[in-house]
Amino acid sequence: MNSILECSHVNKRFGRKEVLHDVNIQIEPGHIIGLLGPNGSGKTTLIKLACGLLTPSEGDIRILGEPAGPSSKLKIAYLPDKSCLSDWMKVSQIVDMFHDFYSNFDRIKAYEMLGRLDIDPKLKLKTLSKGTKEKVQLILVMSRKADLYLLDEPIGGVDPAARDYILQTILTNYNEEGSILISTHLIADVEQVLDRVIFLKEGRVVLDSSVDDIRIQNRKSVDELFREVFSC
Amino acid sequence: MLTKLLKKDITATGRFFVPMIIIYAVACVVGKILMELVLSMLHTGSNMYDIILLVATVFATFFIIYIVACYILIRVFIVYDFYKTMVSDQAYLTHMLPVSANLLVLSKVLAAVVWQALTGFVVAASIAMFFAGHYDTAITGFYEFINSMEAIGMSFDFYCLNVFINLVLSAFTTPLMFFAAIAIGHLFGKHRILGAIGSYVGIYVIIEVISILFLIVIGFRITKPEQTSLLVNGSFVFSTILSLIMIGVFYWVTQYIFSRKLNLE
Amino acid sequence: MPWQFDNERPIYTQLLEKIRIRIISGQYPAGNRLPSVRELAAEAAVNPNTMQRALAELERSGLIYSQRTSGRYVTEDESLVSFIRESVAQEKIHSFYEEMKQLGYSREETMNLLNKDKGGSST
Repeated sequence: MNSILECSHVNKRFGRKEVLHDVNIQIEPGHIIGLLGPNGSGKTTLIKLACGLLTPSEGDIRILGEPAGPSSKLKIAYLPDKSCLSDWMKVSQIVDMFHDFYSNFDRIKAYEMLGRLDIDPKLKLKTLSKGTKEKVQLILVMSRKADLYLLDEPIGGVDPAARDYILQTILTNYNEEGSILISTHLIADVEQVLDRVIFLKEGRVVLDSSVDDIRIQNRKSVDELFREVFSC
Repeated sequence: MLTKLLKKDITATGRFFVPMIIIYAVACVVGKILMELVLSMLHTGSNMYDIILLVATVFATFFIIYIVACYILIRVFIVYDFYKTMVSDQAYLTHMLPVSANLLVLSKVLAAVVWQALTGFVVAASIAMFFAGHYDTAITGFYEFINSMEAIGMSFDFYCLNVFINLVLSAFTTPLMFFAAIAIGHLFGKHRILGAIGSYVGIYVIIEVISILFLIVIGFRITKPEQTSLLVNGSFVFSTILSLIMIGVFYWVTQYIFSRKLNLE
Repeated sequence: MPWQFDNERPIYTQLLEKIRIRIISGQYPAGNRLPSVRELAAEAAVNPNTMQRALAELERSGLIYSQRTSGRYVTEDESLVSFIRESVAQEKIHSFYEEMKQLGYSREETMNLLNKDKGGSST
C-alpha cells in the first residue's frame, strides 16, 4: 500500500535562500496531521511542493506512488491561504467548473453547504466579503472526495465562531479513507483534531510524532511544547 | 478535457472581446450611415452638408482611434487572461486542475485564435458593408492594385494565399510569443513581470535579427531589377516558415516550463 | 461547541471519561445506540482516530459493545452501569475528601459541614 504522501530528502531553494532542508515525511491514509511552525518556516512551500505548484531543488515527492501530475492532482484537494478564485465568476459557475473538471466533486453537497451558510449561488464572487469567499473556497475543497487534503492556514485570521465552523466542516466532510494535512501556527485551536504533528523549524523537520505520545511523554499539550521548541 | 478548458477560456476572454466587438459593430453601422449621408449630399450644396461632414469627420477620427485601440486591446486581453490564470492569483486554481500543462497552454492558444478569428470576420464583414453600393469604385481600385503587384513580380493568387496564411499564422504567433515570454518571466520569481517584459523584448529582437539576416542574404542575390520577385516571393515564403518555427518553439517552451519548471511563489 | 480538554493528559483518556459520564448519567441510556464515531468526533471537534481509541477502551471495559454492521451500543447490563456509576462517584468523593484535607478539614469535620449544608445553598 502506497503512502498518500511521501517526501524524501526534499530541498527547496529560492535563488540562494534555502527554504526547506532535507525534509522527509510520510503520510498514511486515515490521519489528520498538523504541519506546525512559525511564519516563514516553510509550511506553505512544503504544501505547494506536494501539490506540484513548485518543483523541488532536490529530492523526490510522490502522491500514492506517483510524481506530481494530472492524476495526482485529481487525488489532492488544496486550500490555499489566500483566495485563488476568478472574481468575475458567479458562485454557481465556479461550482459547475469544479464539477466539470473533478470527477470526485460532489456538487449536491457543495450546494447544501452553501445553502446552510445562506450564500446565494447567483452572486458574483467579487461581491462577496473576504470571509465569505474563503468559506466558498473551503466548501469547494471539502466537497471533493480526495485522498489528500492540503489545507494551508485554514483558520488563520478568522474569528473564533468561524474557526469552529471551519473545523466542523472539515471533520464532517472529509474522505475518511484519505488524510488531511493542516498547516497552522494557531495550534491550541486545532490540537484536539490532530492525530500527529510535524514541527517545521527554519525549513527542517524537528519533530514528527503522535499527539498522544507528546502528551504522555512530555505531560504537556502540543501547544505548550510548541511554545518551548520555538521560543525566541 | 480540452473542450472543458476551451469552454472556460473562451468564456473568460469573451467577457472582454464581446463588448469590444459589439462597440466596433455599432460604430461601423453609424459610420456607414454617416458616410452614405455625406456622399449623397456631396453635390447638393445644402447647409446641412457642412454639418454632416463635420460630424462624419469627427466620428471618423474617433473611429480610427478606436480601431488602433482595439489592435492593442486584443493583445492586452489575451495577455491579461494568461497572466492572471497561469502565473498570478488564479494560477493555483488553474494548475491544480487535473489536466496536463500541454492542454492548458493549447486551450489558451485556441481560445485566443477563436476570438481573433471572430474579430477578423467582423472586420471583413464591416469592410464589405462599407463598400456596399460602391462596388464600381472598389473594383477599379482592385484592378489598379493587381497591376502594381504584377509590376514587382507577384501573382495575385500567390499574394492572396500568402496574406491569408500569414494572417492565420499570426493569430497563433501573437499570443504564443506573449505566452512564452510570460512563462520565461515567471521563472524569475518576484520579478516575474520584469522578466516577462525582458523576455518578450529579447524574443522580439531575435526574430527581427533573423528576419534582417534573411533580407541581407536575399539582397546579395539580387543583381537585376527583374529579380525583385525573388525578394517579394521569397519574403512571403520565409515569413511563413519563420512563423511555423516560432509557433513550434514558443509552444514547446511554454508547455515545458509549465509542466517541469513550475514555480508559483 | 467543541469539547474542552486539559493539556497534560492524552485526549483519548479525557474523551473516554466524558463519554462514560454521558452513559452513567443516562444521557446515552442502557441498550441504546451510540452516535457513529464520525458524528461523535465532529460534535467533540476531535480527530476520529482519537475518538475511535476512546471507544475501543470503553468497549474493553464492557460499558459499550459493537455490532458489526449497526454500530456501537451501550450495554444492556444495567447493573454494570450502576456499578461503574458508583465507582466514578466514589472516586469523586475521595478526591473531594483529599481537597478538604488540604484545607485542613478532617473527614468528620467535612461530614459535619455537609450536614449543615443539607438544605442546599447556604444563607
